[in-house]
Amino acid sequence: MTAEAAPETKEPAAGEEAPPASAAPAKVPALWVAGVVAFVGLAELVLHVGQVSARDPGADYATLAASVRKEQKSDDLVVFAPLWTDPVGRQAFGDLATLDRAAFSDVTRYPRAFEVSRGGARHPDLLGFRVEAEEHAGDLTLRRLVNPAPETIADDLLRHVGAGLEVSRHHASGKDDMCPFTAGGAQAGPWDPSRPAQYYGCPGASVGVIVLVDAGYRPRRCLFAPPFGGSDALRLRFHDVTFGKAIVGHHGLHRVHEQQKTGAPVSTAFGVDAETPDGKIAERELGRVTHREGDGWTGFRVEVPPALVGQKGDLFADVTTAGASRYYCFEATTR
Amino acid sequence: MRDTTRVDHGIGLGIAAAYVAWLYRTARTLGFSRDESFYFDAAGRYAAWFHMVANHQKGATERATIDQFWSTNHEHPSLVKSLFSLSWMIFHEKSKYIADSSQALRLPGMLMGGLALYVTYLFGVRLFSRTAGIAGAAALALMPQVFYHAHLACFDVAAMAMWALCVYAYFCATEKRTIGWALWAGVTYGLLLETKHNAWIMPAVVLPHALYTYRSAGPFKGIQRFPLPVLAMAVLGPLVFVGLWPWLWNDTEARIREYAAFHLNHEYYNMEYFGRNYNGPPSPPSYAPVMIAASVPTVTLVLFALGLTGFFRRLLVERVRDAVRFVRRLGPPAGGYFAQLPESGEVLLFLALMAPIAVFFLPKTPIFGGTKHWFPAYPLLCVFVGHGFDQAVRAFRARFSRLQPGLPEALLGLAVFTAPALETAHSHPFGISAYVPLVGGTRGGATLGFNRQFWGYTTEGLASFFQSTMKPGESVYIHDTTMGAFQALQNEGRIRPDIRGNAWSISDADYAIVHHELHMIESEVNIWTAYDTAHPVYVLEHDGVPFISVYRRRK
Repeated sequence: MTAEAAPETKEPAAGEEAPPASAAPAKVPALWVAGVVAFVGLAELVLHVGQVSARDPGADYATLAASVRKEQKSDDLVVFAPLWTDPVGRQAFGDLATLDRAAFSDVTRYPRAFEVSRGGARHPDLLGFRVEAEEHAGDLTLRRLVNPAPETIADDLLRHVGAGLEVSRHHASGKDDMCPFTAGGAQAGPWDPSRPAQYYGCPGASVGVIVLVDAGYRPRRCLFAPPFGGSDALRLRFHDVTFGKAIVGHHGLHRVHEQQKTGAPVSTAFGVDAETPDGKIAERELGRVTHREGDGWTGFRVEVPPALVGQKGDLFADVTTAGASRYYCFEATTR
Repeated sequence: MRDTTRVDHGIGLGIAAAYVAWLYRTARTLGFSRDESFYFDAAGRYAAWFHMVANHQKGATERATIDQFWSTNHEHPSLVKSLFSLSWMIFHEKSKYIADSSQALRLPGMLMGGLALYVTYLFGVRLFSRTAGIAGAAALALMPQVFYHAHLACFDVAAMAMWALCVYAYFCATEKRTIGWALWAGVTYGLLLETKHNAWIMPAVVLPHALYTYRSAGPFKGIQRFPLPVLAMAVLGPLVFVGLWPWLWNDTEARIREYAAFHLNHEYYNMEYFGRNYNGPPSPPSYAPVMIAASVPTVTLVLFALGLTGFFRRLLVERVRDAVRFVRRLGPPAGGYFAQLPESGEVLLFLALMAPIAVFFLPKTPIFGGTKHWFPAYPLLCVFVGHGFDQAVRAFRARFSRLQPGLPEALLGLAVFTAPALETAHSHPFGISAYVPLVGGTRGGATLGFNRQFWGYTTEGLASFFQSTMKPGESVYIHDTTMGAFQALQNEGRIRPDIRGNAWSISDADYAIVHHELHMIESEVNIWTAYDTAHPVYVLEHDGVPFISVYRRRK
C-alpha cells in the first residue's frame, strides 16, 4: 500500500515565523497584554524572593522559649500555630513540649496557655481564650492567653495508672481475671497504637497511657482501653479517687476504627462501691457514656451524687462493646 | 503551519540536552522514593533476563523463565523499567561510565524529561513559531513539580513524554497523510501503552479529533481521506504493547485483564487537600484545577490563558456570533456559518491537554498521585503557553519596532521566566512540596493543608544529622522510606553505611523518623508513646516547613 504525497503547501523557511494556526488574519494584541504578562512575571518574582528570604525563625523560637520557661507553671498549656509549625516548635521548646501539652485532650482544664504563633496564626482550640500579653520575636508572636472559665480538676484518672489502678477482665458472673501491671517495654510500629513501656497485660489487649490519633488527625493522650467484645467488660478500678461534682472526660477511637463505620458502639459505665440499705456493699452505676463510630474525639460528663463530692474512694469504669474489639481510648478527670 | 527544519531539531535537542544535564547534575542530592526502590529491584531482575538473552542461554523465552524475571512489579508495563535496566547495564555495569548505580537507573527518566521538552518545542514550532516552541519548552522545564519527577526512575514523566510524542506523531500523520507517519503514530501509541495506563484515555483524544479533521476531504484524495493514523494506533498499539512486555507473552488475555483490573480497582492511598485526608471516593472535583493553580507558576498559567484566547474565540465567540446572525436573520457572515473554526492542531492540543485532567473530575478517580497523574497534559498546555508568549512578544514588538531583533523576546523572556526558574531551582530537593508564590510558596501550601510529600524521599536530607549524631551501629526506624531505598542511599555513600535501618519497629530502634504528611501522624504519636517524649531532636525543614522529625529513644 502506498500513499499519495501530501498536498504541496508553502512553508516558511528556517527561522521564519509560521503564520498563525488560524486561517483568520493574525491580530496583534494590544501592548497592555504584554504589560500584564510582564507584570505578573515580575510580581511572582518579587513574591518568591520575599517568601524564600524570610529569616530562619530558629533563634526567635529560642528567645520565646526562654520567656516561657521563666513564667510557665505545670498547669499551663503550650501550643504552636499554625498547626504545621508544631514539630519545629516542639524541637525548639525541648522539655517544655511535654506529652501532656503536645497531645492535650481538652483546653477547659488549663487556666492559662502560651501560644507561639508564626505569621499571626491562631490555634483553633484557643480562640475563646483572652489575650493577656504579647511578645514578638521576628515573625513569631508569643501570646499569653487566659482561660475565661477554667475548670478546677479534683483528680486526673490517668495519674492513677500504676499503683492506683487495677485492670481486669470482668465476667458477667462477677468474676475478675486480673491483668498484671508490667514494665515490659514499649512496642510500637507505624500504624496500630503503641503499647507503652508500662501497661496492664490483658488477654489480647494491653491497657496503658498512649497517644492516640483521633478522627481529626489530632494527637490525644489517653488511657487505651480496648474492650474485649461480647458480655465481658474491661474493668478499670481506680483507687482513692477524689470525687468532684462530675466525671468529665473525652473518648474516641483510633482514627482508622473511627472511619470503619462497621463496628458496634463502645460503652463505658462509671460506678462506685456503695452500701445498700441492708448494709451490704454493692456496685452502683453513676452513669454510662457511649461512643459510636464517626463521633470523633468527644467530651462526656457523668454527674456524681452530692454525697460523694469531696470524698475519696474507688471508681470503676467498665468498658464494653457488643462487637469485636475496638481501639478505644479515653481520659477523665473529676471536677 | 510550518514544517520543522534541521535547525529546529538542533534547537529542540539543545534544550532537551540542557535540561537533562541540569537534572543529571542535581540528581545526587535527591533521595530515593519508595516507588523507585521497587523499580530498581524490577530493573535488576530484567537485567538478569537480558543477560540470559544476550548470552543465548537456553530457555530464556520459556514461560517459567519469563515469569521468574518479569512477574516482578507486573502491575506496571515493562518498557520504562526495561530502559532503566538497559541503561544500568550499559552505563554502570559494563562501561562504568556512570559510577552511581542510581544515576544510571535514573538516566532514562531524565531523558524522558528531555524528550518531553523536545516534542513540546517541535509542536510549538509547527503550530505557531520558533519563539513559541522555545517558550513552551522553557515553561515545561520550569515547573517545579515536573522538575522533581523528571529526576526519578519512575513512570510519570515518561508517560508525559510518551503522551506528547504520540499526540505529535498522530498530529503529523493527520497533517502529512503519509503511511509512514500513520505507522509511526501507531508505534508511538504502543510505546505509550507500554509506558503507563494513561494511554487508555488516548481514544478520547484521537476519535473526536479524527471526526473533526476528517469530516471533509479538503485537498486530500484517495486513501488520504481516511483516518489511517487511528487505524494504525488501534492495530499497532496493542501489538507493540504486548510485543515489548514479555510477561504478556503467555496467558495474554488473562494477564491483560489482571493488569487492567489492578488499575480499575486501585486502592485509595492517602492525600491531603485543604487539610482533609482523602483515602476513598468521592474525590474532590476541584482537586486538579486548584492543584494546577497552586503548583504551576502563575505567569505560566497567564501565558496559557493568553495562548488559548484565539482558540476560544474561534470555538465559542464566533459560534455565538453565528447564532446571533442566524436568529436575527442577518444572513451568514462572509465565508458562511462555521467559517472561522479552530485549526485542527489547536483542537488536538486542547483535547490532548484536557483528557488527562478531565478524569480527575470523576468522583472515583483517586487523587493520591498529587499533580503527577495529569502531567501528560502539561506539554500540550505549554504549547499554548508558548503561543501566549509569542502573542505578548508581538504586542511588544509592534509598539517598539525599532528594537533590535530578539531583544523583545529576551526582555520579555527575562520578565516571564526568571520567577519560574528560581522557583524550580529553589524547590530542589523538596519538589513535591513546591507551591507557587501566589499561594504562599511551601509555607502557604502547608497552611492551606496541601500535600507536602509522599514516598519518603526526603530522608537523604538527614545525612549530616546522622553523620554528626548517631553512634556507630545505632539503628533508625526509617518510616516511609523503604529498606531498598535506604540501602541504596547507603550503597552510594549518601548515608553512613554502618547505620542500621529498621523499616517496621519503632520500639526496637535507637532513633525514629517521621515524614510529615497528615495521615503519618499515626506513626509520630506511636513514637511519642514508645519513646515517652514529644520532643524531636532534629527537624528537617525547607522554607521553615517541617519535612522530617527525628526522635531519640530514651535510654
